[in-house]
Amino acid sequence: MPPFTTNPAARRPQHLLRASRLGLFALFSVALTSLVCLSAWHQNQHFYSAGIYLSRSGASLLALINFGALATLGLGKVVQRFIFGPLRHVEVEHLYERSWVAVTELLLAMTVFRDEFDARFTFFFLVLLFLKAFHWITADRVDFMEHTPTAPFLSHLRLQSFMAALLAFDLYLVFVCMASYWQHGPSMMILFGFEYTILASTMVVTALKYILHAVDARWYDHQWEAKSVWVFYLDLVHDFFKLVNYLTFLGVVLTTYGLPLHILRDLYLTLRSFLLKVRDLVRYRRATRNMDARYPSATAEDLARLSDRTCIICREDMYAPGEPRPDDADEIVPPVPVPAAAANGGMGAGTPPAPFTATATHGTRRSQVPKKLPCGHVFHFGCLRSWLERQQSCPTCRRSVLETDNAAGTTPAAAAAAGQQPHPHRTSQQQHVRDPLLRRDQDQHLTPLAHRYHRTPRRTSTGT
Amino acid sequence: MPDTRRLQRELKEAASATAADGSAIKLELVGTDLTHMKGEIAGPAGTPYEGGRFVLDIKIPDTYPFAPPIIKFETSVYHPNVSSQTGAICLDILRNEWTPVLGIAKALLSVQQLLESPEPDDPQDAVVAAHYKRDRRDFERTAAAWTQFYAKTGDAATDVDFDKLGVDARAVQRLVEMGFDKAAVVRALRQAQGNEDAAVETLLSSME
Repeated sequence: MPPFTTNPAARRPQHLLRASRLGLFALFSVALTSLVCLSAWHQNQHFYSAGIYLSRSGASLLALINFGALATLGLGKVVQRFIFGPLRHVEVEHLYERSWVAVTELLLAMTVFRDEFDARFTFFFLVLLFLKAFHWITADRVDFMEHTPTAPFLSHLRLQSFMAALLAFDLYLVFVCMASYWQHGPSMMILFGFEYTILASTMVVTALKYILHAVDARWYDHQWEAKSVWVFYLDLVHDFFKLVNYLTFLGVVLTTYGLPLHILRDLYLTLRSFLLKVRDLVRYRRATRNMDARYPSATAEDLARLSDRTCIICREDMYAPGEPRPDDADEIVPPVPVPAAAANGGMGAGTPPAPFTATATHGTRRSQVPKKLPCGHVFHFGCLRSWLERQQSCPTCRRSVLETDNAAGTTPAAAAAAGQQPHPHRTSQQQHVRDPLLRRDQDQHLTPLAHRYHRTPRRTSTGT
Repeated sequence: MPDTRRLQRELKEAASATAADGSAIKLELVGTDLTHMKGEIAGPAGTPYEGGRFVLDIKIPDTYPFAPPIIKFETSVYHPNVSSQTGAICLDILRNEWTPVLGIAKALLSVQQLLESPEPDDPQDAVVAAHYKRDRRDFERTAAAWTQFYAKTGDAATDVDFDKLGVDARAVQRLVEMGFDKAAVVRALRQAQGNEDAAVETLLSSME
């Protein structure tokens, strides 16, 4: 250990400086504002005329706006402290990133509404930015809560009430903007109206997702298979709503002002996301439509022929309907302490102490029925459906599950039993398979490799 | 929530594999949360990484096993497909080529294999990749120095060429002048991603 020769005080000024940059800014702004106000007061005898003077002079207006920004920031900090506590690193990062984008876009928007640019616009601008920042943090926090079932009840309650408050704000502001539109015709309030509509819809979606997570945690023990489907549809509807909103805005602004440059990026992103989702949906629907009919259930005979009756997705053994299975108690992994169940007062409070009881009694539940793909690989119905939501190819050999006719010539079951697969269809993307494990044996499929590296047979640890 | 049963099974299998055949890879939980693990892989023999133990940070996404685990190097490593700054790994199976057939242990093995066979044409760290292509021998010396210094424990780290370790030489000089040990300074600076203040903070707190 080196001798302690550094003087901690020597690095303090630098440290202090960094921590109190905000403080310096605050000090400077307050000083500037009071200076401006004092000089205005000095030059004008009456409060009213001083006010007029302040609002007329560009420089003093700038100082006031700066002060307003500081006050907004301060208020934001206080609210954040109270509702969210300290922000996580990723939340701060997102905040910075999105703030830049939002500010740039709103500056672009000003070019459209440049004739109406005044203190009022700036005020609305700041309010919008303020609310937006809290929408982002809320969305991040909801996401985070889902990962940490141990979050205390109070923080859930705070988040819930805050979401409700934000939504109320959004709706109120939408109403204000709409009222202004009906009374005074199109103005920059259209811009804010649309922004708040988007924010409100995002908040509704965030809240609905939060509810889905809560339902999953409370009644399904985090095993709710249909949740991802619900989330997907939710996102799809949200995208559609946003798209309609953007297009309406585009139409309105095009007819009254000009091209609203600032929404083009969002419009493009939303359109792309929507189209991709629709494409995924179509593929997913095609792959999962009558899954029961499309993919035959594996029989007990099929399963016996497999070298390994483990479903490679959930790593549980598969049994044909009606096939006798070993006592479930053997199959269960000894319960390792799980934080989800240990939570007291959290969302996990209502769940039974042993998180495995729900799946231990599955019997021949639909999601547990083994299904055979055209390539011969077998998976649980539920596992397969979850995978097909993402990709419509066999997890083991990557053969597309949609082109059923190609498999007609081969004898898939026999191939699977021998561990030999038909050569996987490689898409252009897969030409670049860079994984050394895969590249070394390009002509083999994944499973033999998997077994090669599995020193202990899976069977021993599953206890069957 | 990720598939907790599968995760527990994977952890158990990895533990028994480690117990059975020494330590090609190691996998363990960081805390009590199943979604955060640490992995450890040995540097493959015959590479500049030989003899090193590389620690990886593993985050399990919500949608696991349908989405890949998020893996990055915690130990600094000099490799074309690993960011020398953040430890992010460029490996297809950790991105679009993931399938649930793979698991965490297999993903770690792939990373280990990646150490053995770099892909400089598809780099994560452009500077390192350029170095690899320009002067292979010098690249290997640097990679070996990094391994020696960052991935080995004990006294192995003493006789290393400090100029090769990817830290600002002047910053090292300044901190060494404050009276800190050189090796500790380099480590702290790496950990703090070059931020001198943060490095001093680490150095000071490690003394208490």
